[in-house]
Amino acid sequence: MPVTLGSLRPVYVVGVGLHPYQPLSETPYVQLGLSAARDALTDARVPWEFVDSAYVAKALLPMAVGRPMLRHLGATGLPITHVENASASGSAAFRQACMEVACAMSDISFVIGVDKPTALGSRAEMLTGIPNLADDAIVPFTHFALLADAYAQRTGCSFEDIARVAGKNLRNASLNPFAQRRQAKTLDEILGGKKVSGQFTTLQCTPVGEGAAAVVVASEEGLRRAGLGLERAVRITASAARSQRVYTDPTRYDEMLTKETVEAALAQAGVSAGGLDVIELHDAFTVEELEYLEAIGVCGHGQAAGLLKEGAFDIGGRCAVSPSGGLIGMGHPIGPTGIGQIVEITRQLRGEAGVRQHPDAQIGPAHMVGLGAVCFAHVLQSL
Amino acid sequence: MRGMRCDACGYVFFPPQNLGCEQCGTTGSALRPCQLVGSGTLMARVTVHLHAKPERPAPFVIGTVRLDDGPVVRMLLDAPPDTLPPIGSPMVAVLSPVASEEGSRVHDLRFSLAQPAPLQE
Repeated sequence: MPVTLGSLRPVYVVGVGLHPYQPLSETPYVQLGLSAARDALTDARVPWEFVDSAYVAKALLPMAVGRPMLRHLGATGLPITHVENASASGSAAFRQACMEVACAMSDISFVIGVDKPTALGSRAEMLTGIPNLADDAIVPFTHFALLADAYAQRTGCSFEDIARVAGKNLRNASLNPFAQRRQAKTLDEILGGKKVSGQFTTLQCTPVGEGAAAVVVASEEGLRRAGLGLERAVRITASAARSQRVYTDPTRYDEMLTKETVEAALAQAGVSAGGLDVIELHDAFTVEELEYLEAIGVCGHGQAAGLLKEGAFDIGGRCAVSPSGGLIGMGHPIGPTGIGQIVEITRQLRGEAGVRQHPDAQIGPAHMVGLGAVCFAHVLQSL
Repeated sequence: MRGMRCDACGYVFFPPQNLGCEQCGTTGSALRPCQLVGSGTLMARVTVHLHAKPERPAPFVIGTVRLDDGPVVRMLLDAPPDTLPPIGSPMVAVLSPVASEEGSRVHDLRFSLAQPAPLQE
């Protein structure tokens, strides 16, 4: 029987930091990354010399971005590993650091995601040598637009109901100084925007930009070594990762894969989907949020749109969904995204989310899907 | 349309490839080419309004079709961008002429409504 994260020694998030997500600029990636890195180390009160290992997530920048960036914190000689896993690169890097600390190979590990949309190349799926029909015509927004069309047919909800996801997430993002989109929009403004594919308008799709996110994870031994206690620590009680199988409806793989992965994480943590206080979801396109909430059992099939309309997923509602603004509002710099989710959940569970604070948040999972397709889910819990 | 069948697990798939069965991993002669009937049911459809590649000028229509033989495929539909066929419609594969290069005629495999809608009197 494989071991789970929860059965090993406890691992905690002890420090978090961000550089704002923003459109492509002249700022070198090193500056983006160092800003998040120093914030996370300051927040943790852990000196860089105490860090045993570093994981660097990126998907769009060229190879080996870590050392030219991290050397400016002091070239301590620590092991650096780069992780690429499409949209889930940051989530995968976080998982590696958690596992390393849990199995006691490190006491303090550092995770950073940094990216810039400078090297957008072709997707690996196009290089397999297996030509598909019209694959040059079906980009990710059309994949999800087709899912939205099928979802509306299946559940009877309207496209306006689906667009409401963007309304909530842009409202949350307007309260987040690190978000790429910081203006709340009315439903009319969202629906009236430029049409992209199917019923999607631009504000229902995530903006891919640049940014950085960093977290420090530690064992109790690591904290003790740094002269710290558990006062501001948040425990990672589960880590689950899976990849796509063959499903009855292969076009709904994102949803089926999410169901398997998040259910595994919740089971590891011993918590139920109904008991979640706050959740950061992969919402690159509006329809995803509704599909995933149903897939992981936060509500029944076909119920997400109605609950969203009633405010159940607002900050202060039954379960705050993507209080950061999610990918639609906060943005999606790829490498940092999964780590940025951990930053938001940590702030929520510490009660340090300011105007975005969901009352009495104690259990919060983070979920990411990556092209290809891979899925990651982590559960964070307050002590 | 040509697809493939895995004799080891029975999985029928499209597009054809002999790199290994996606369901069970079998390779070699157990993967056999098979003919897929070019008919199926429309599961979803959208008009694409924005597309970066100049060789596919938007708007165009993309559909998800479950073939009567099992596999689910996505492809261009022969449908006007402003009147999409209803979900659940029977569809058939057609060879559709596209902008031809000099001296050659190029056809695209697309899906079209199996029966054209009856004309209104």
